This record gives sequence, structure tokens and C-alpha cells, in this order.
Amino acid sequence: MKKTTDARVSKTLFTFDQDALEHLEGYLNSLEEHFKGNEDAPEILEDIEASLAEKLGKSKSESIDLKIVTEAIKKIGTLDELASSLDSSQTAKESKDSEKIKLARDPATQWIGGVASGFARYFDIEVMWVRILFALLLFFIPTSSVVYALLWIFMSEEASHLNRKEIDSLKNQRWYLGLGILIVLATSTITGLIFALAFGNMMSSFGAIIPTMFVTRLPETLFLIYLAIKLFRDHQPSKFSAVAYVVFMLLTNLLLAISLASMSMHF
Amino acid sequence: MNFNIENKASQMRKGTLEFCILLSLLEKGQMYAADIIAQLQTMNIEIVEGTLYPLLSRLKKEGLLDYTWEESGQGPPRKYYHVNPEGEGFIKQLIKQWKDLNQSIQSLISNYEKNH
Repeated sequence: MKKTTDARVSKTLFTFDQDALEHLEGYLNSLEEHFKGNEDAPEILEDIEASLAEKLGKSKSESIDLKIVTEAIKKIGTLDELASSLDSSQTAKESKDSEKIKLARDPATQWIGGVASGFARYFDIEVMWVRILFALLLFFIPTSSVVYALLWIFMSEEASHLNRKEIDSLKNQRWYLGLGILIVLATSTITGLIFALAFGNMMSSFGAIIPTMFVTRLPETLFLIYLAIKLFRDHQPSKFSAVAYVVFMLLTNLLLAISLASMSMHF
Repeated sequence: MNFNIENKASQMRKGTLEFCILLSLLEKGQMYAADIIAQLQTMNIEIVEGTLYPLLSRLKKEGLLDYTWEESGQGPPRKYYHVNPEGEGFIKQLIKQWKDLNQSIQSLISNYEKNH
């Protein structure tokens, strides 16, 4: 039997199938985003919810399933239909203008947390340049990842032109890519430093990073990537992942500090 | 080519959307969202509720429409919209404008058809 949840739509209580409720919530959230900047938004959303409640109320079945929700949404109009309509084009333009000056994470083109995408949009430059800058910083100064993590936590998220569903699908694809890069960078930096230290070459340690990673720590890195992918597939990318990322980076940096200390004691 | 005609025609319909809504409200006395949509459909104007609500709330704010809550028997109460006296005066002016415009277009069309 399908899992059901009770939820209120405009003061009326309904029993939903889990997937149906998620779909409805996703739709309402995207509408909220869509009408942002329209000063009548609260009233419009209230009207829409009331209308949805009326449509859902006509169903005779025990719980509201995905098909009923989809039918109801069709009557209100999908986001694409609303976006192409005459009345909303005006508000869409207005909110786009205000987005330009706001520094916020952009999930539409994100790899990891959308921080680089946010900066790229804010300064109107190619996101790849920002990424390269971040990667260089991370490569040479491992602790700079904490700065990234803090930006991730404190910058708000803002969807640009895409709707929620499209953003989520982008997120799920690019997320692992970014995390993989992160972990390769992190582990290679750590192992590189440790090995460089082991050979007593403390100051020019960076030359050893790439070879040591591929020769000595490749299986370990691959395993870590596998674990990370599994972890984030089980948990939807969210604030949780940001926190997990901070913990991960802090731990690796701690590990780095400990090994540095023990190495220097050894010599 | 067909696509372009459809596109232009739909733009014309969209341009007259507000006018059509106000006229049908004036004719019927009062309607709620689903009635309005059904009414517009008979005039070949396809519109979804998500587009209609912002329009109605704007017209209300401009002071042309008011609404009253009515119990629907099933589900939540509905907002029934009607044109208020100011709105009625406004629509009468619009009707005059429309007739003028229509006359100009009609004469353009008949001139063309006479010569071809």
C-alpha cells in the first residue's frame, strides 16, 4: 500500500499519496517563486490554493493520487503556461532586473553549492573563470575551502529563470561532479603534502601532489568518491550537505594538521 | 505560415482579454473564476486560472471590480466577482473606444476588398 499523508490545502484537510503531495508542494513553491515581485502575490496564491482545494475535493477516491493533482494543476496552468502569458511577462521582467544586483547562490548552473554560479551571475562573467579561481585557491590554500563553505551557508539561494523541477534535475546531475572534484582535490592535497613531508621536502611540497595521488592514493580516492556519491544520493542535496561538507573539510584539515605535527616530530 | 497567423491571432485575443472579462462580467452580473474561463472559452480565448487570478486581483485593485464570498456547497467558498459602478463607467468608455477602432479597421478592410 502506498504511503499517505494528511495535509491542508486552503483550510481543507486531504489525504495525499506521498508522491502526489510532493508534486503539489513543488508546484506551489514554484508558483510562489513565479509571483515574487507581484504585490498581490499573497492573494493570488490564496485564490489558487482555494481553487485547487475545490478541484481536489471533487475526487471520490480515498486518497489524492498523482493523477488527480496533475489534472488540477493543468487547470491552473503549468509554470511554462504562466510564464508565456501576457500578464506575467511584466512581473517576470521586473524580478529578473532585481536578481541582477543580488548576490545569491544560483542553483540553475551550480556544481557544488552554487556559490561560483552566484558570483558569476553577480559580476556577469563566465562561471568557468570563477570555478578556476576557486579551484586554484583550494589547490594552493586548502583552508580556503572553509571560506567557500561559509559562503555556501550564508548566501541565500535564488533560482534564476528555471522552475523548481528543472533546477532539481540540474542539481542532481552536477552535484556529484562537483563533489568528486572536491574530494580529489582534498585528498590529493593532503596525501601530496604528507608524502612531500615524508621525503623531507617541506617547502616545495606541491610538486609532489599529482604523482603521489595517482600512484599511491588513487584507489583510496576512488573509494571516497564512491562513498560520497552514495551518501548524497541517499540524502537530497540540501543544507545538510553543506554542513556535511564543512565537517568533511574541517576533518581533513585537522588530519592534515595532525600529520604535519607528527611528521615534524618524527624528523 | 500557419503558425504565424495563429500567433498573431492569439496576440489579438490576449490584447482584448481584459476587455472581454469585464464585458462578460457586466453581462452576467457576477461570476467566479471557473465561470469566467468557461465564458472565455466560448469566445475561443484559452486562459488558465493561474493567469486569470493575477488579472482579477489587478482589476480589483484598479477599482473596477469587487467580489463577494459565496458558499459553494462543496469545497471552500468562492469569490464571485462583479463590476462596480466605477468599473461600469470605465467599460462604457472602453466600449466607445472599441467601436471607433472597429469602425476604422472595418473601413480599412472594406477599402481593400473593394479594390481587389
